[in-house]
Amino acid sequence: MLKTVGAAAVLFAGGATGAEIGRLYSRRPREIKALMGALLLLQTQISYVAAPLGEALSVVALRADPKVEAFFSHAAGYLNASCGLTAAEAWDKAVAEVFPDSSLREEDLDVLRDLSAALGNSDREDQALHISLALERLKALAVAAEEDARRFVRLYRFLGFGAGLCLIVLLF
Amino acid sequence: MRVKQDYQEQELVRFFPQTLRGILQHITEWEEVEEVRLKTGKPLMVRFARKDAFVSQDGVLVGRPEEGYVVSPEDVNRVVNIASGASLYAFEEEIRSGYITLPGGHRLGLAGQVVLERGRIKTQKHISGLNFRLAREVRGAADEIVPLVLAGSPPRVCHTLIISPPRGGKTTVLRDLVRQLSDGVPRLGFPGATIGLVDERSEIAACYKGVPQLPVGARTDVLDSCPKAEGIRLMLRAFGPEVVATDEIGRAEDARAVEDALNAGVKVVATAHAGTVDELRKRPFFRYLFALGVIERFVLLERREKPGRVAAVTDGTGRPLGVKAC
Repeated sequence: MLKTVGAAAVLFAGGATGAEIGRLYSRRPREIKALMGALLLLQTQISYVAAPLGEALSVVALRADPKVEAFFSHAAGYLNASCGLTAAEAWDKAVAEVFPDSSLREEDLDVLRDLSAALGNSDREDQALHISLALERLKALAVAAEEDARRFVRLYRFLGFGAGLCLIVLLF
Repeated sequence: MRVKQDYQEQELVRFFPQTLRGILQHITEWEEVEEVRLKTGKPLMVRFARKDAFVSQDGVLVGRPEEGYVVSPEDVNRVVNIASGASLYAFEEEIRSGYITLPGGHRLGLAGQVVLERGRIKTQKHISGLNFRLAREVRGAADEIVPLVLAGSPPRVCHTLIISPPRGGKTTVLRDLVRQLSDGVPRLGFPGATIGLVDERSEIAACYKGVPQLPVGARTDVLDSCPKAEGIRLMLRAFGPEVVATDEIGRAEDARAVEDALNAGVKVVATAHAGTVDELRKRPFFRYLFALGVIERFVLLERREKPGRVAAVTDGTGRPLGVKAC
């Protein structure tokens, strides 16, 4: 009886670990798309409303997908605090604080970091171009992330259960 | 006194990055500071009412340029980014005019490489020179001239032209005059008048997001960043003011707008760049204005120990009134 319970626990643990790794793959494209939606909103705020960046980021934080809302509210908070931070510093600080808990990878965050250097330093036309460029790069990453998700989600779930089964065979 | 100085210091230094804050916070004469100038590769400079000085790395005021803290391109970029709230795109019109107005009414002058489009300034890039001009209300700056600008019984506002050379305090005196005429002057039995203020360069009311940052009176409507001629006509049509006030008239189209105001029975209070009234008479615009014979008061200002000192007030014929010429 105890052996059965132990085996079930090992199998569950293996399956859960595989499912969790698989979930990271499936979450990443959704988070990239949420980021793209928010950047599109930011582009609108800058191009059509000409809202100051602090205000624009606050608006985006209110309307964006909850998956990326924290990033924009952190960036807005730093920028509006008048603590002597440039837009790039506020933005990069928010990237460093918020995204370690996400499924986004370094290459996704590099797009955000590259965008930060241009934020607020030029006219509307130029700002819109920089955001469009970031959106294009994110779009390509989202396609790759979806492909990864399709390939790896089931693979890792299977591997998790498989590893659990192997362990049961070895232990018992 | 210390509280006031701390406030002024905080008002300004919040537009600077931490490195420059560390230097500027050592300055102890903030009440006297009129401008802070930054130029890439040149020493940090502070301009006071009666002198200017360079600021060393330790925040000490020094006289020799080579002892001053040398401003880096990074410093200039960071100041522009922070002072504009990382939103240069929101100030496109103002950048064309070479400055942006900041919260508190302060003004950041920008000098860089101008980008032209169809012969007109589109924007500036590679900004390398900055000039912070501190906005400061000088309450009572117009006390001396108010009794002379109001005439008759009951008192009415006279058509007034305030004249001085650059940095002579025209805008400061005009702002306080507008405030007093708008709020009323009980000691002279003047109840106050509705005023349409056309602030083409955002210097009088120092509007930030359309809201005056400096007091211009309870009965004053402000048209910010609007060309004077169009602004005066708009005010006449939409607000029916008793007085129209504006800064630095001098172009042909201004003359026609002023004439429109006169025809509408509205009093005009304006300023003009000149050292003397005779200097004005040589310019076509003012020749025309003088030919109309409508200006009732000329207020001549001079800059001595501080700007806005009244040198003389005359009536339309040049007869001195009240304040003696020096």
